[in-house]
Amino acid sequence: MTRTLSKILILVLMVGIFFAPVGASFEKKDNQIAFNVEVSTVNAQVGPGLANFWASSSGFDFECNILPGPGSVVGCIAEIIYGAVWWPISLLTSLSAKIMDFFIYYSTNSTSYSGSFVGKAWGAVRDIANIFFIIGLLYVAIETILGIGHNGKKMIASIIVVALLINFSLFFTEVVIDTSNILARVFYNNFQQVDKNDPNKVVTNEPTSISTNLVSIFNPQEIIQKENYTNNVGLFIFITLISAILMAFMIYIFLSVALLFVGRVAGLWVAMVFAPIAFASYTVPFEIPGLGHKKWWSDLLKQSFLAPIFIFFLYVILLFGDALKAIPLDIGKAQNGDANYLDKFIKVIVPFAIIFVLIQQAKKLAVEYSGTIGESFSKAGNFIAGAATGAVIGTYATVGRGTIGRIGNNVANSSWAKRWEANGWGGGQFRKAMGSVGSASFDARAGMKSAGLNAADLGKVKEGGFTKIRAENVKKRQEKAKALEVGEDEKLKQSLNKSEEDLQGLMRSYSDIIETTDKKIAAARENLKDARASGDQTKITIYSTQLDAFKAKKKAIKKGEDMKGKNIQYFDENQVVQYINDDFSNVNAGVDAQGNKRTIQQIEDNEIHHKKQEIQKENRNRKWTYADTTNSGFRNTMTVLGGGSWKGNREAANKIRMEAKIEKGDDHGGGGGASHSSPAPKPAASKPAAAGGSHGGGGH
Amino acid sequence: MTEEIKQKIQEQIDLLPKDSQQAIASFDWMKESQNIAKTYNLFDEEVDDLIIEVGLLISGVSYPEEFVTNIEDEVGTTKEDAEKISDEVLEKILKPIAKSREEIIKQNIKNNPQPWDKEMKFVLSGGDYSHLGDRPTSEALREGINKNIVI
Repeated sequence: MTRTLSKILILVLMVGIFFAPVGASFEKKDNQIAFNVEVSTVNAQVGPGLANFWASSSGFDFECNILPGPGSVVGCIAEIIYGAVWWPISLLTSLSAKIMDFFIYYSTNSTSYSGSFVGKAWGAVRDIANIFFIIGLLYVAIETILGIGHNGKKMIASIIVVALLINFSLFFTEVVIDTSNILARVFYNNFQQVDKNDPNKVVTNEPTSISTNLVSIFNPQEIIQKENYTNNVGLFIFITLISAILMAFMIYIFLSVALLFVGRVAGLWVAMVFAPIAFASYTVPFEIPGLGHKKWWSDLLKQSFLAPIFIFFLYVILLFGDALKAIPLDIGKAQNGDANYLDKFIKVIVPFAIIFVLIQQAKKLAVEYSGTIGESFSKAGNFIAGAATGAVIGTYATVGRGTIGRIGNNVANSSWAKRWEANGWGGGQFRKAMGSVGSASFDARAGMKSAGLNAADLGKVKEGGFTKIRAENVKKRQEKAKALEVGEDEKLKQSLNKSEEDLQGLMRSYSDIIETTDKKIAAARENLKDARASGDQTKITIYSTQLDAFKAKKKAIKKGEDMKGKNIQYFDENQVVQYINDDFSNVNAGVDAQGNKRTIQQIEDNEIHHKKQEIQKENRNRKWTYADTTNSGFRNTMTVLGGGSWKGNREAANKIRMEAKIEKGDDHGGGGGASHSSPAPKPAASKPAAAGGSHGGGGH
Repeated sequence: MTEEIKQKIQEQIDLLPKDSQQAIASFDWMKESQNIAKTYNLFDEEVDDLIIEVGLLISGVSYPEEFVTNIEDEVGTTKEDAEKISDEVLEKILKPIAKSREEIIKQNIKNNPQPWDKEMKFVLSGGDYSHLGDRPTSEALREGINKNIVI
């Protein structure tokens, strides 16, 4: 709630100051506080910013046409990107530049602090502060009467001095603010007045614009010129998108700087209004929370000198920009073709990157001097600017995840990458990197966030001693080995899935006949049991023939056989001979590579069986190779150098080979390994494990 | 069941480690298989077929996950009965054999304690079983396992 309110306050201040003329003041009128508006505006005194900067490059026509004839669809895409992405962002950039120029000027203008509302508020606070003198005098009196203090005279003297000085507290504050503003103006006036349409042209009749001066270092508008891309619309699209990102960063910088100066104005207003309390705090033997003289002085000086320090840095950056222009960035000296445009592009990007970093550093240093209010405003500025920039970057992030991220994920899960990792030699790092690419958000906002390091970002402190770390490492290696198993997207698994799906498809298609036959087998078996119990030979013969015939039929279904001519017969209830002549030769899913019919039995007994074996074999090979790599001399040396246990590597290798269960709990003796007498793994309910042998046993 | 089939199953069992052989020998799994067969009304040849399937399973020749299908195809039961038989084989034959094997291993360790230096090496090694007996090299073991799969 507090955060929301503070954001609303910042927004109101920004909008209020930006659109309200300078010299606005509060006055009491007809028993009401009225907000007076003066006609003069700051807008006339700051430059046009970049408002007209991009206008020269408007009106591209790439001959959009989706019908046969001249023009192309790519031209349409170029025009859409230009109109829907680039143009709105360029307008936002111009606006943010204007906002920055405005607030830098406004913040360093002494008239911004001479509003009568500050004087009235200061007067009210001064009256409250006078109460402190009464309290102070009473305190000294009581102390003297009780004879418990020894500084009575000294305190009375200081109360009288402060009581006099408090009337000048506003004046002192204004002296400090004016001094800082004058100093800031010394640097501010060094910025050249440039032509609103051509930032490289120095003029004398235009207002000063810091943003125009900064932008003139890298001239981003130069890369968006139609004549450069007449024959290459694709390049235009690429350059336009990159240019939009660049402008998004510009918006971020401009707005965050603007907010820094809004913070300064508000901070200094507060310092002026509460100056009497700060002076009065000298007379009391305790620190007034938030309003004491120590904090007040600190805030006043930091806020005041934020402006000259930051503008000085901007000036230095401007000078540095001149040096940048002298660097030959078109080393290739390409005279034509795409490379020529790329040279131009580099000429924009490199200076911009340097300027971006320098401004960030300047801002950081300035914030250190700006006190808590400036800092909070700066953070809010970052939030607002970040929201604007984030909308642009977020769009690119989505595209990044869908393309590069997808490739990374596929590569990381591929068979060859897993085999490479099992063999060592950087395969692990490669797969990890690809996995990171696959799981990356491609959102530059994440990087920007992490740039503001805080304690929470430094990672979790490792808990537990060496034993626990060793156990964790063993577990980690076992998990890694497990992750090397043939995955869902690999060919072997896909092949198995195909066979299983084909089998299910066949079973589903012939489920009626299979179920009916099963019912007949069950009924014949039941009847035969009863017949045997009663000793009725006739019935025994009837149901025996039925059981055999239906079992043969089921086999024929599964084997995809034609039963004609096989003389499968049985007696019905009336002792009449019945023949089963069904043709199940079409119960198959085509033929396999060897030309065998892919019947239910063939798929069940051969295909799936062999494919499972292949997967198991591949899994074991990978795990054993990884186990060898884990316990290799090189890996052990690296582990020891990293403070780990090489015996842990050996334990891990052993557990990987034995396919030991991965420990789940935290308690681990470290070095335990599998128990000496591990029983056979518990098999699934309907899939019993073999007591011995290689399939289910384990441990022997 | 013919003696020849019995012999063939026994040959496979003889390939297993000693503790597994002892565990299987200590339990009359054939009789138990017959009892299960009776429960599901299997007749003569069907009983023999079930015994063969159980024998192949406990000797590690056939796969546990294919046991249900094997019963259905080889014995000739319905799928539902095959699943029920499989569950009973697990409870009444495999689990007792596994338990018996565990007891035998414990008993063997008790009766034949490892020399103290081997025990110490095992503790210090962090679970390396190679100190406890003559184990084949990793390459040989891997090869053996892969061969077994192909059987």
